[in-house]
Amino acid sequence: MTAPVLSASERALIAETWSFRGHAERSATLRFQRLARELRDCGASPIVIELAETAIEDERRHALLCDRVAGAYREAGMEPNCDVRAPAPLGPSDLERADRLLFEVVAFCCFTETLNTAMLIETLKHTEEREIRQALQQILRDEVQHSRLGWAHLADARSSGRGEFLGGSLPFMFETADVEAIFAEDSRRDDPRLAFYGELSRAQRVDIFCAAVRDVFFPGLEAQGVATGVGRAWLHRRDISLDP
Amino acid sequence: MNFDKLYKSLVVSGTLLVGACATAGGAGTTGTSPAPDTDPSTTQGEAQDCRSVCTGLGDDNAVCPDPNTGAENCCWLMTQRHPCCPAPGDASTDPS
Repeated sequence: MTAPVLSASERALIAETWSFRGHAERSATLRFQRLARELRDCGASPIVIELAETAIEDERRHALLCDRVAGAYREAGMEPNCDVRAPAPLGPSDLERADRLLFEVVAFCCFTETLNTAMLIETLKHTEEREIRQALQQILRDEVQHSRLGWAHLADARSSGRGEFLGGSLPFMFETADVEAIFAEDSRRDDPRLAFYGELSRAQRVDIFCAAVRDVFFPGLEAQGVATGVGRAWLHRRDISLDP
Repeated sequence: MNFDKLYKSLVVSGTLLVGACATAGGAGTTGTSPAPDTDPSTTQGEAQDCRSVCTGLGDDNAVCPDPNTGAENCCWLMTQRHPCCPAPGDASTDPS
């Protein structure tokens, strides 16, 4: 397929996507630095600690990849946003330390990284532009490991009787992850020509979110004995249907 | 759109990293089940008959036992490939 010719505003849109990703990757680098330290302090499984330490470098590398793609599409003279603050712990402050860490690992790895993986998989189905495709592939391979880190830590916690509170905290998790932003009306990426460059339409984002939560996140929690009813109700109240 | 294979790649494989277990059924499953046989010595034997241990070998979406976890996994997601997996570059990056 011949590459669709992009307007200046469409190129800026692609640059915006990758700048956003670059910023998120830098933030994730800092988060994994703290998580790795806290996992060590809490006596987490060695494989979980190792994955978290590896993730630090992964995210650093991803940020550079994102910068490169963003730089290829944005106007000359604009620099990547490197002003990233260390992300605060995600968990409710009334939880004890190990539970707060568990909440954050589930929120960031089991939920966000799983969702990222699903988004990247679907994005790759349509992406044809070579540099963007290569960047997506490289990021995807690592995000898979970051998600597994979360599921490993959750399984470890559940085997020692921790984490039952997670079911009741799913609304808080969805709110801190800004789930509703996925459903916000934004048609700027809906032109199918942009799929060649790895952009997802709003409808695609919504479908991927619903399928990832329905097929992976909720079943993964349930497999570890974490009830998902409160989370399902939270989505239902917002008219978010997980049905295919 | 269906992410049942992704469930196996992420949840089942992740869970097995710490020696625990999760159901491999994907959406709608609950509870736990015994962990798959992760004896690495079976991997060579399985290589003798790839079609009995892998699916999708004829296309770009082959699924084989992950040597690191014993769980079914997409070849392209494996850090160490199963002997039956297509060589890197031959397989698609589309696992779903």
